Amino acid sequence: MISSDVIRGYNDTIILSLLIQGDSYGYEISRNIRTITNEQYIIKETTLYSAFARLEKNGYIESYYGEETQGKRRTYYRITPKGIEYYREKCKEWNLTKNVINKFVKELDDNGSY
Amino acid sequence: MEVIKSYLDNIFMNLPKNKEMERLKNEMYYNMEERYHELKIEGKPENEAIGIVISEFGNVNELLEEMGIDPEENKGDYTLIDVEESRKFISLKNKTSRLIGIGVGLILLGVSLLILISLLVDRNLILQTLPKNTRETIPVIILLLMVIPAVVLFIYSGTKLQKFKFIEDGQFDLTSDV
Repeated sequence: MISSDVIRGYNDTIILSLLIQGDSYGYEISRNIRTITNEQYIIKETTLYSAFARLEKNGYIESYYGEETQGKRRTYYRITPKGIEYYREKCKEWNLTKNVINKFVKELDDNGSY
Repeated sequence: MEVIKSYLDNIFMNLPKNKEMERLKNEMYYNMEERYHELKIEGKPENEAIGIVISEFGNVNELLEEMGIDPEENKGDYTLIDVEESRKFISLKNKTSRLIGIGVGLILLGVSLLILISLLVDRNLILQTLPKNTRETIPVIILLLMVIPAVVLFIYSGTKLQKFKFIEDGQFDLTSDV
């Protein structure tokens, strides 16, 4: 299980990447995150909805009411062109971050030295 | 499922009550319900499934912050009621429900009598000796005799409950001391 502190800055990116593949709703998104990562990352319910609130406020996603199925009417989310643009930037940022962190993160040998 | 429902009820109890929150709460309930069923299908025992669902809920303050809601802000707006007062409310509610029931019964009875007596009068089965005008007025008088006490009962119940209107509107918090 990954700690939510480490991944905090990238929840939005993860959600946007799923919405690029098509409109979706809360549970489907959280299930997809779970299965894609082989249960190594389980997004908390409140984390998911605060990400939705933030993304919507910034105009990166839009929400709409879906058709009612089995008595449930779900809120669906759709990515906006602005959201796609933001996703591209975040991907660039991640590649940079990854390169920087990789310069410092190395496997130590049994004696605790490189 | 009741556990999950009351868990959410508790969390949302002190939060602003509006459409947006209602929608959010429903949505979260659907998600937790679905997750619960999924865990059950995986063969998890009920208690464990509920435990996992609740542990995956997270911290509500994180969400409130993003939505621009101060979790403490709404608490002060509500009147606190204790056990005694809630008992009073419940017994008054029972009493007024009965009174309103009686009122409705009286009105129904009045209407039935109106129809019955008018019919009997029309067919000259009763009150044959009275003048025509009086014969036609009697059923209406009987109806009024039933409606007036009913209205009194309604008004009485309404004024009694007025004091507890904030409870009916859901604008209260319970004190934790029992």
